[in-house]
Amino acid sequence: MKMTVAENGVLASNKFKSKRAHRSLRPSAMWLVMPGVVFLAVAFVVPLLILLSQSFYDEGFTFRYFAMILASPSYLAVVWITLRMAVLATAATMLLAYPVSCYLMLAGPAMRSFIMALIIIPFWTNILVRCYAWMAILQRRGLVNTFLTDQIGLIDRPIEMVYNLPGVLIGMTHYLLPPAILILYSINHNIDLRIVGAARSLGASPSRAFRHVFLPLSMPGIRAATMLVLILSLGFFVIPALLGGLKDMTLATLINVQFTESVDWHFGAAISMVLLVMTLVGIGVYYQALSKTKGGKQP
Amino acid sequence: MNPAVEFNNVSKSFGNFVAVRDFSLKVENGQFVTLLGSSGSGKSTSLMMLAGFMAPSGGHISIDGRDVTELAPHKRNIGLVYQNYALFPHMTVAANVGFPLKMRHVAKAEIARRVRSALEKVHLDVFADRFPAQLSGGQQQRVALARAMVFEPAILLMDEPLGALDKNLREEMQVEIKRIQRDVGITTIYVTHDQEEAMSMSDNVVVMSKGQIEQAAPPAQLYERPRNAFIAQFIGSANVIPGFVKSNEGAKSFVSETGTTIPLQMHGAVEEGARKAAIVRPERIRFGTGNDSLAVPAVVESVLYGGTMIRYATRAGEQRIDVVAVNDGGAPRQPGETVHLIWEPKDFLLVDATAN
Ligand SMILES: Nc1ncnc2c1ncn2[C@@H]1O[C@H](COP(=O)(O)OP(=O)(O)O)[C@@H](O)[C@H]1O
Ligand SMILES: [Mg+2]
Repeated sequence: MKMTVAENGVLASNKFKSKRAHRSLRPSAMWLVMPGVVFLAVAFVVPLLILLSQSFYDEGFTFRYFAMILASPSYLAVVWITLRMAVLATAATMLLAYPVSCYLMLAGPAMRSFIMALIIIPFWTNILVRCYAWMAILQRRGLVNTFLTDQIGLIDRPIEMVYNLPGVLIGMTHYLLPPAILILYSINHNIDLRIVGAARSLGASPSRAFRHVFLPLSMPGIRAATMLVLILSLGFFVIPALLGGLKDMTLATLINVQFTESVDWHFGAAISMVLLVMTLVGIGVYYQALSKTKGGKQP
Repeated sequence: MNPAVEFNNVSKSFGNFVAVRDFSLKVENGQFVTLLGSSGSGKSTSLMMLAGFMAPSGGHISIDGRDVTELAPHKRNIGLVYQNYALFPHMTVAANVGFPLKMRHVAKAEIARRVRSALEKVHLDVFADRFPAQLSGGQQQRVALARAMVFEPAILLMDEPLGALDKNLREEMQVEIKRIQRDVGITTIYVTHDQEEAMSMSDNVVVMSKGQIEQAAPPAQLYERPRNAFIAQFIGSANVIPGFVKSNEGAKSFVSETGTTIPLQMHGAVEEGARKAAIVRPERIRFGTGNDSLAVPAVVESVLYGGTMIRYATRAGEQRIDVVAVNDGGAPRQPGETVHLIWEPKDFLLVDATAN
């Protein structure tokens, strides 16, 4: 999971740098990047291609494994659960991240550094640690339920908040908030707030100035953050496995089962292919959104 | 009739720093008033308090007799033009100009009509469907002006609106802004640090320094009757000679700090001995002869030939005095030449040596 975030960040920034770099790169400098390229190719690209090729090659060319996925309602259900979970987690994340990113724009430098620290510290915390922390907080005899039943007696029976969809969504949202806030803030902090002030002086109430001016200007950031969060949330498997119930099987969890428990590499490779295509479509849309941002705020 | 705008002892502090102090000003209906001062003198802060974006730390602001100190910006009915134009980049020119009308729930057809007429006024009707980024700086500025006036606000505020334009365009826009303002007759408060701009456009100029008003007067009065040495130096160029008045057997004279004595022919009482500054504009000094009883002998140090004008730097004793003469076709004075400087008594002013 950690790797995915880092890699996505690097990919995004390299895309723009490389255009410039290509022009100024002398041929001799190519030798400097060769070791890295070779290492990535040998250690990552080649194994990935070999693995994925197994999805349609099993003692001869076959679509058998893809047919298995498409023909089975339970596997299609996993695709659907994965998608739904990703969309819900993305929506929850964006709804929470947007106000925070706006507040960061308005806050003074000291407050901003403080909030940034609060955002970045969980960002660096291991995902397993975070999951077990959430279990301790959310389980039947966890912090929240104990507080609600024993301390203030608001409810009689504990609420089921973990080992189900809400549990997964809480865990995923918690994981996705820092990158979402950071992307929103990094793109939107360029918005000139004097423009919002101009709208106010021209007769717009605070809410209308927000709706007609700030919100449209912040759309590039919203688009970029939404797509990145959606892509990340498609690939989760630790959080659904730990905080989800039996029903909350995602594609990533299923892949894990195929490789480690069923040891059906061909079928696992086919599911990986499905997830990869879903993610690539997501990335395609993501870069589309990003290039719109780079094209400037004007159409 | 109530003044269109009235500042009453308004002040603004940021922490311990006082950005605007005891600011009191009345602006009459239809007037064009300019706040003039160097960067950091509190011009924008005063304007932002009037627009409602900053709350004064003390004092009251009223518009047309109504106290607006606590009123929200969108309820003040003020048109505001910023230096960076602050156009909405995601809206067309027409949508930008129509925005204040839309916020006032004006009917669609009426908005279209008024937007068109506002754009015609600033000669931009053909650009209605463009986006701000597709316009030049001067055109964007005119869109901002049309947008600030289309809803017929009570007051128009402009904060260094021409600061980002180059010199020629700036002069062209000065004329245009002045024309539109006169046509519409809207009360305008204009902010600039350019004294020529302030002098040529305004009915009244308010000179600010360190958050305080140094002098508020019509341009001609500011030039002819500066209240202190700071104003004299800030508006146009002036010989500012610090010194004091001395009386000797009934004849009064001014002794500069550099020791040069200048004979005085003053009307009214002058305080003897007090530290003052003598002000005399370079273009009010003529070359006379030694026979003039009030002439000040001086030596030409340098000559700058400027075509229409010739600038001389002269020295009367240790006191440097600059002279600007119209080039009348005669031979210019030469460096080292002795000259006799004379001026009308009314052109020799004694003012406070220090600013507020
Ligand atoms: N929001 C603020 N916080 C702290 N100081 C400010 C703020 N706004 C303005 N100032 C200070 O107040 C003084 C006057 O600023 P301003 O009114 O913008 O000057 P001007 O427009 O005449 O250049 C400046 O010294 C500026 O640094
Ligand atoms: Mg300013």
